[in-house]
Amino acid sequence: MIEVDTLTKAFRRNGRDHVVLDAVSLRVDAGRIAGVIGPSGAGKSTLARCVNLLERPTSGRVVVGGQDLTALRDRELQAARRRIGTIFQAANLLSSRTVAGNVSLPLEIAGVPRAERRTRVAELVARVGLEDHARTHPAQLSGGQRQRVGIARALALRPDVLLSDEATSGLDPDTTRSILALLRGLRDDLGLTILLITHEMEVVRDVCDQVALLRDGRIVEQGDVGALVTDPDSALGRGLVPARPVAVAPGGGQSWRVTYTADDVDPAWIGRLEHELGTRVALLGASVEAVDGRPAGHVTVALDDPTIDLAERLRGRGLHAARLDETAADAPPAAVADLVAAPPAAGEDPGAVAATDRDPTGEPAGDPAEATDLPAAPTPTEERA
Amino acid sequence: MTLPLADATPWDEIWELLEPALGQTLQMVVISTAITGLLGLLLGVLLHTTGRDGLRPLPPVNALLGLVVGIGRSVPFIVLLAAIIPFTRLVVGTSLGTSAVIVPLVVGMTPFYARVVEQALREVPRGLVEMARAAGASRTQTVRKVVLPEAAPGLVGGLTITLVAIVGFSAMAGTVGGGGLGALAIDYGYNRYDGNVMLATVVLLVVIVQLFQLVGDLLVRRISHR
Repeated sequence: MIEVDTLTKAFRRNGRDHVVLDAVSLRVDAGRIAGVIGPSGAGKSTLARCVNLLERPTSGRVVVGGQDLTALRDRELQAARRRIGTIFQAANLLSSRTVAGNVSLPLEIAGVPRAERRTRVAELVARVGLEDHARTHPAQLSGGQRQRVGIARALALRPDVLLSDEATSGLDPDTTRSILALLRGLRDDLGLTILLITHEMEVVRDVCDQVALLRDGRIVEQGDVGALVTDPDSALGRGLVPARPVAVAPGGGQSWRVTYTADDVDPAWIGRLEHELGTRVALLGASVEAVDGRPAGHVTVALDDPTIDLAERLRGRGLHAARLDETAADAPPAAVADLVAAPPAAGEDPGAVAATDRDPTGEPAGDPAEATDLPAAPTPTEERA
Repeated sequence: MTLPLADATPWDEIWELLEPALGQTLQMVVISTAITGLLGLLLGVLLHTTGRDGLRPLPPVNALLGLVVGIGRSVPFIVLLAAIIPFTRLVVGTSLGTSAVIVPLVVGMTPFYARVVEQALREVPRGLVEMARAAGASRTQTVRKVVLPEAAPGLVGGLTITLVAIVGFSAMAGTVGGGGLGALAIDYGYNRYDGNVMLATVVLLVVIVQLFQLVGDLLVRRISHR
């Protein structure tokens, strides 16, 4: 279990305090995967570094596994950190050690005897599918393999909690998916509690049970992923299943935007609707994704007969319909647009942001097109209609 | 008027001159490098860890160490050799001879190597230090298991540079009767116009430096896995 309680972190720079995290509260129950999403400079990395006390919070508490880390002294903190596995964006592997040597490092730090270390390392290397590379040096590995080594190392001391700071950033989509599948498998097998810091909505949608949106150091929205995507008013929910451009309704038909508001929507609802109404239902666009294995998102349809009140017709079926001219769905919802752009707040020293939301690979972290899921990005959409 | 080189030592007798000098040079260089390496490493680690972004920032200590290192590096070796004679006598019991040269060589080169060490440690990515801390490593463990091994290629490469510099400075050993190839070259080659000895010592010095550099480079390549 991870509990972050009114955590505030301010950095002093040029005689002024910069509040990077402002009363952030967050709770992740045992065995859950929680995502923290937000634009660059929102304070995500600082939050991650505060959770294992690499950065000491200015105020507030961080409780991991029932232990208040903020109350611990140096030596106790070292012991407490061994129960938190951390995965980093750059994997942070020692170039001087082989894969096995890297995985062995936390065991050596904790003083595990050599024989025990050897069996545990072999076990871990196999768990992440790198048994053929145990004696390879990191320089010879691909990005995904390096991250697997980082995960094996994070698991070495059998932690209850895994902290992942942008672990899939910079990996290609296939590799990202395989890393996320590995994390989900680990949660299922070991009952790990995982806190994922990310700027990719897809990561949240694919593995997270719950998510918090962090902007300018504050949590603006949080909740269970399943509940957020079925809430037509949730900015985060719309960000998870972003609006995409839709086609024009043929022959003067009325366009409707239909949002899935329950997790038990009949997947064949369009066919049924056509049958019941006796009119053509044209599919103009769809953003339907599997969340927790169930379809969620929204669909844009057009009905030939403009007098039909689709909202009324779909009531009680877990679907919420609104006339398209009412919702102006072509434009991405405002909150998501903010999430995408998110320039540093006025008056804030950009240097302070760069220093706190540090990108260890040295890649520019500020490029919005790369750093955030653009709603209009041509990502594969699963159509279930 | 040109002086004939008739008095030059015949080539077949040169090795008798070179051999003891080579032995003295190697003795000075190897022992000084070993001690300089250890002390410089210690000082360099202290400089790095007490630095502003170090594992344990201690600005006053860091400033003091920086001052000591700075002073050590600004005194010319030939002056240092004479200036610390009382200290040399205290350490090795004499201010003359080969072992008396080792003391100023170590005193003179340790600050240099300390800076080289500090530089090499600075090149270790910060993320690795963070990783070690996050894994629950103490500061000492972080230095021993992460920072030093990762900086090893730089440390060895820097030690090679230090060693070559020590070969150079050891040539001044003659001024306090320390012997060695440098002294030989000055005594015979310069003062007695013995061109053969001059040529032979220069060639031998070049060969020694090349060999050390070669071994150093091989070692660096061996331990570097970047």
